[in-house]
Amino acid sequence: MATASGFSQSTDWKARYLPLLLPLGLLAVIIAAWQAIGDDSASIALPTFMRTVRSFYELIVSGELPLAFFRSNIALFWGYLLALAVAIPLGIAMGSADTVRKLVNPYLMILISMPLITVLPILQLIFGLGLMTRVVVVFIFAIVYIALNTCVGVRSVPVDLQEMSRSFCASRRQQLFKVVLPHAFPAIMAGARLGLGRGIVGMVIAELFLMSEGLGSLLSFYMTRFDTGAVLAIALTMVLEGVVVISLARRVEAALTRRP
Amino acid sequence: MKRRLKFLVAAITAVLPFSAFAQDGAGSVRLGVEIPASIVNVPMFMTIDRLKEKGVEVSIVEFQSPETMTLALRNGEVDFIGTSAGTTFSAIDAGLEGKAFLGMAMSDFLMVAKKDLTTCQSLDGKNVGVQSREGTTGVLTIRWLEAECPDARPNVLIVPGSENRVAGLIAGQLDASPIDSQNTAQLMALKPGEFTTIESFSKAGVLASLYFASNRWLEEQAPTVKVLVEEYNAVVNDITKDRSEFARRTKELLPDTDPEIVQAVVDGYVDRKVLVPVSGVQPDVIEDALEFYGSARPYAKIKTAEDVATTEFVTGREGQ
Repeated sequence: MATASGFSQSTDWKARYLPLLLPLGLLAVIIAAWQAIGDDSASIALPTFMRTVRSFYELIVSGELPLAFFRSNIALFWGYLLALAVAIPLGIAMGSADTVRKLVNPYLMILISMPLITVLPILQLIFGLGLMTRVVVVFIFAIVYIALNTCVGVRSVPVDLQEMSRSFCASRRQQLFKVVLPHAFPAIMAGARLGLGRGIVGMVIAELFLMSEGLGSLLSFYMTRFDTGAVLAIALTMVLEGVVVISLARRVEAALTRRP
Repeated sequence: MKRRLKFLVAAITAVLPFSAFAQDGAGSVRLGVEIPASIVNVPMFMTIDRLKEKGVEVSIVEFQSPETMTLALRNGEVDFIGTSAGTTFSAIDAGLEGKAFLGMAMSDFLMVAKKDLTTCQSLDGKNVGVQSREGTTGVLTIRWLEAECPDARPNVLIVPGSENRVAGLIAGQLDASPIDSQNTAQLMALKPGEFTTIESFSKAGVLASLYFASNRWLEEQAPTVKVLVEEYNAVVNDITKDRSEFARRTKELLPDTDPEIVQAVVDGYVDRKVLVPVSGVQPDVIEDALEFYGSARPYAKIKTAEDVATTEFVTGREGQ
């Protein structure tokens, strides 16, 4: 009996802590390896983990990183909001009507396959050097995945479910809000998450290759100084932002899809 | 057994000369160039052609940015690079063990503005685009504004890439920007009468660019470096005497630009003595450049001209 209880306790412990300990262990190994291969003898060399953390701390304390972060995220906020506002209705229209899908799909495919970096100077020419160009770049980067995922989600609504709603005399509006959107919601949220990740990439690219402001500007500034610790700290901030906002989006999705 | 031994000896004998050549590396040099190449690169291209005739092969590796090019130099992927003095000093200050061994060019930037903006003061409240605050254009502009019109408050915008700044001027998004003489001439030809030059920064006499290599390569390949520097200096001296070949090669490099404009840029380069192979690495010029670029951010490790440049390879005088 005592043995069975001991075995049960051991299994409980493993089930409880292993999923947490394994990733932490891997992270510790990566950090240790990073620290070992880094070289702090010159700022141009690959920075160690500790130098990167120190640079991160200095950038935070000096206020440079928070200010740049805020400036960059203005473009991300407006560009992403615009992408959601356009892409979700567009995706619904594409998923509901074959004509719209056939009409729009080739252009979305062009946006997916085109190296967008090549059109940045043209965007700058059209929209200027200010915030507008960066908002447009974020919008272009984010819209495709949101629209396509929404379309797929809408098209995956079972036909019998739609027929049933029609047989109960549901209006088109009721069909959309009571049947189609709830069913397509997970796909829309997945698209929104992907779009957010792409939007962050767009935000940084716009700043690196067009007018420098925010995180891109800070990155260029430290690159010209060959301060690799600061460069890596800024790059990791961007990665961290991506991870945090996508995790938040996932939590929002989970909260919204939770049954009452 | 004997046959096998004979075969082994024959194989080693056949391979040895090639391996010795590969280890030596003499006669083969890799130069890093930032693209698009401009008039300032032409004398080196002419030198490469002459060196080829002497059996020294110089291959060109193209880079999009001075930072990646400098990191490639550090990693030994190129042997020497032609880049801005500011980039060179920053890299050395950050721990790159290298030195400038050959001067390239003095600053030839012009402050270009919309035609109705004719003075420094008229830039008050206007958008002025610069490459970076600590680079040549940024420091030149900020110093000029402080000296000429301290009351003016223009919006200094960071716009990387001279082509982006030219596009910004054409589109009306920028009101003024420091642009090199080649791009200025092209802009004036593209939009005649729409722009004017407020100031010539060549008057400032600031070293803009130089050729830079790792200390190790300079030591190991000293004879090759000597030949390269001598030939380059000879090319610049020949250009001073007869600019026709320099003009022809520059026209080849810029086929879309009006040949008359290219000729005017070439004439400006020669007459203003922009090319400075020998004086560009002399201690007084380097000290001035260190003071200029260090005014935006003092260097932590660099103390004297000897820390960043060597005169070991330059002999004779330029422009003779």
